[in-house]
Amino acid sequence: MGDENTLLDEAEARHLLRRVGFEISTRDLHRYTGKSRGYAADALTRGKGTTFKPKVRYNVYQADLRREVHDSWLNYMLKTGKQFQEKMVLFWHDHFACSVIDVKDFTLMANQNKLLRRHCKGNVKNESFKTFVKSINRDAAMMDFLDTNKNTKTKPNENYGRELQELFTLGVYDINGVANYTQADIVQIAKAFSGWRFYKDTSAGHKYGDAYLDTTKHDNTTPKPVFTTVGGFGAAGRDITLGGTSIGAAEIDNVIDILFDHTDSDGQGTVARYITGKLISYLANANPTKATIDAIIARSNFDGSTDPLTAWQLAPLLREILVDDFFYAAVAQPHSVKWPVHYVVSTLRQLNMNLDYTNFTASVDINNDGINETISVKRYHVLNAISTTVGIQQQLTDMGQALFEPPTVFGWDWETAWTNSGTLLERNDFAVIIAQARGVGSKAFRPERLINRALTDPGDIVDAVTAALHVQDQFPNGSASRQALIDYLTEAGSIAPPINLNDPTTVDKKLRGLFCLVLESPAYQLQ
Amino acid sequence: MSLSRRQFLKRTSLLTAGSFLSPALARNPFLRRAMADALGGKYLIILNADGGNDGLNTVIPTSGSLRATYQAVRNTLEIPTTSLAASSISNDPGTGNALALHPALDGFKSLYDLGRVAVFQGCGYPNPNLSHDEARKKWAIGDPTNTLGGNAGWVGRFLVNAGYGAADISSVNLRTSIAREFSQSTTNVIAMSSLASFDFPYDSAYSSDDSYKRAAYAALHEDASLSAEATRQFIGNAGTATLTASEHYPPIEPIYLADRPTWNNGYESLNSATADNLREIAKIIYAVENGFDTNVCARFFQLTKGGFDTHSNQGAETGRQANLFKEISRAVEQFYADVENMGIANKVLVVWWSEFGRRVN
Repeated sequence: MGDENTLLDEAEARHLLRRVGFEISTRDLHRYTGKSRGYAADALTRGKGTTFKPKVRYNVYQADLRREVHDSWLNYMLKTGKQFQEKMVLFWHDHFACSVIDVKDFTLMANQNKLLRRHCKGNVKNESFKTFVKSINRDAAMMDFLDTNKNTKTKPNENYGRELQELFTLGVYDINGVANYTQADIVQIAKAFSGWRFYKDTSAGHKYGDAYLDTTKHDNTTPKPVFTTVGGFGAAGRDITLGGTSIGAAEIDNVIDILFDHTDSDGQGTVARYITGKLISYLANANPTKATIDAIIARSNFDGSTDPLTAWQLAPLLREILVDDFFYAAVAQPHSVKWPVHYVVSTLRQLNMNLDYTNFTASVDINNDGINETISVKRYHVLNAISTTVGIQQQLTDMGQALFEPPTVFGWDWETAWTNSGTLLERNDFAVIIAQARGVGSKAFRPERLINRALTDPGDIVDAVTAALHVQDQFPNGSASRQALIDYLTEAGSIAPPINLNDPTTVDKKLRGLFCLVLESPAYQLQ
Repeated sequence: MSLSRRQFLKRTSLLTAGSFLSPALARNPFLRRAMADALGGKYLIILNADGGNDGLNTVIPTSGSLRATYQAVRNTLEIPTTSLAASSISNDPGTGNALALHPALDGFKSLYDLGRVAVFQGCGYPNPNLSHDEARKKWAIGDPTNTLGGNAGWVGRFLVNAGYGAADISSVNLRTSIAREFSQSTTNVIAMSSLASFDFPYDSAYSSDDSYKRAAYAALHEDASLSAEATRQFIGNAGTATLTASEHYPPIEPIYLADRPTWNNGYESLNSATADNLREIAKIIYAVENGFDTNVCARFFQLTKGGFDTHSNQGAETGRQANLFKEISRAVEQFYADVENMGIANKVLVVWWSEFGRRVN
């Protein structure tokens, strides 16, 4: 059993870096090895998100341009020093899932991405997870995706009211399997959101996508009672209009305040347990126990039970997850499946590879005047891979995770849902494409630069390759997996040592092949 | 399609008797053949209309009180009885009111007239909470009162009980992910978008290296499949099955193309994803039936056609829902004709289903 003062050994530091980022650098490994869990967690959770926003040249919905906004974010992940930040933005993209395929507006998706980044790990002055959710209420991409902009007092649309509870704050059931809300609650909350719209122009002092309330379409009914049967508010429940004193635009903020006061069948904060459980599953491992969740909430004051004034802060919550025993429980045998984006970004970064791109022409109505213009569009791909695939976005799609395209409002399915035969084969394809990225410069895969070429013993060479990809602990001496790689290198013993890594063919065939096999190995799919 | 529900359930109970077999015994090819015999050499295809198909505009009342209720809740999306005359089916057993299929389900209507279609209407679960995902989950897991617990799908549990083991490939899903009703972690379900795209990748610069890479890939995954840790074991088994399937499934395609060019063209002319996916299933069934490769023995299939979350934009006689219906019913009609021509129509059951967790209007 450890705590925030427990010192990290190298394997634990590696585990931490693998979970909170994409690439494990020697510098970071040295920085955290021998330091305490708390020291590392403090360093990682410090500061708020950057202001990066994916680039949108033309806001005209088209497949070629969908690739541009996708590749813009992916390239940022490949280059940024803020790796934990981007891992968290990806988490919130899954949590507040909106798909560009439905929203069909790149500017709004990029704006949402910027919003997620701003709040991704907290530390925003005078704000919190609660204000984050209030911002999501008014986020234009979300308003479009879940039909808030179609919600009127005469024809209420319940989509956002339902998903706000089911997915964003409470969950359908609490930790004991008891329902958190009823259809009546959805109806009342939908009324509160009726009439909310966003501007689709930039005139008169507002920006494109700014939210506003069209009071003519808003249902001003008072009271709007919610949670009269569940939520721990008693038979009276709570009134969204605060007894009629707070109607109109204030109602949607009141909804969030009420949701954050909701308690479950144990009398504990429902939002705190739901969000904490999900973050633990993402950063540490799935299925944390109630005791683990509650201990982390208590230490971080996420539910405000110690100090209401500093409730709902994400940074201390993330810190407490990163110092918890549950986080370090899987050091010896990682068993959380890497998301496809993590698999691709970590591989490229660890191998010091940038993406290449090819210019294509696309016919796009960039002025929105009914006349198509021919423009040049960059399509990013691994070096040499443009002939075999249509680019990195398609590869990620085939692995099951293109950015900005979560399959539904439920986001992506995690863990072993990522690794079926079809998506594993796509990961294998990607590994072979990496192996075939022959050439010079920063876009090429140059395995000879990643290990010591003076090595001649097959076992030493295999160990150097697994160490370069930071999975050496999963290929220990004497293991069948390590022996499989040695047999590959020596062609089942028919090539006798010493192996000469200064021989170009050995490097081009066998060293590339070794890296490829490790990228395809079960151990490398796990974190 | 000719199996009645009762016959199907009878076979289900027959097959569960196989569960006393140990996994090692179940891997024996002779026993596998025996299992297929117990199943009567049948094939099950599950076709999911994802997004919540509007059941009221699928099987439509055309007379009596049901019609009046229908008109009240579908006032803007109503399909007039004049448009439904050509697609009428049997009366509703409860009320005796007349029913008809949506006119765009013409492929199903012709199969219905042949006695090949059965309709199960108004299926649901107790105290629905109106969540789409919850409804999907209920249908996929098939455990509405949550008495079994866990997330294994109903087909998945069946496969496990039937004795399929870690080395078997019992099922193919024509999609990029495994459908939830197939989920379990005992035996293999292959997800592929097409047979041709399912070949195993090698570095094209050194084909002489392929066999060494293959051996290492197999050994790495075998090592993982022996792990005591469940996720690692799962990936090990999945990788092993992927390697096997990628070597045995793509070669069956040219056989079908050479033997059944007319049928192939029939799917081609429909020009739809559903027709393409059903054609891949037909290719596999053709190979299984003819025993081209003992490693190709899948009998359970799944495919999805999404886009049914049409809500108020679904249209009535024409429109989004009608287009989806046309695609599905014509593709199934073609598929049925194909397997009928193979002489095995009486061994093939297609189940078409959709979740719908929302309010009626």
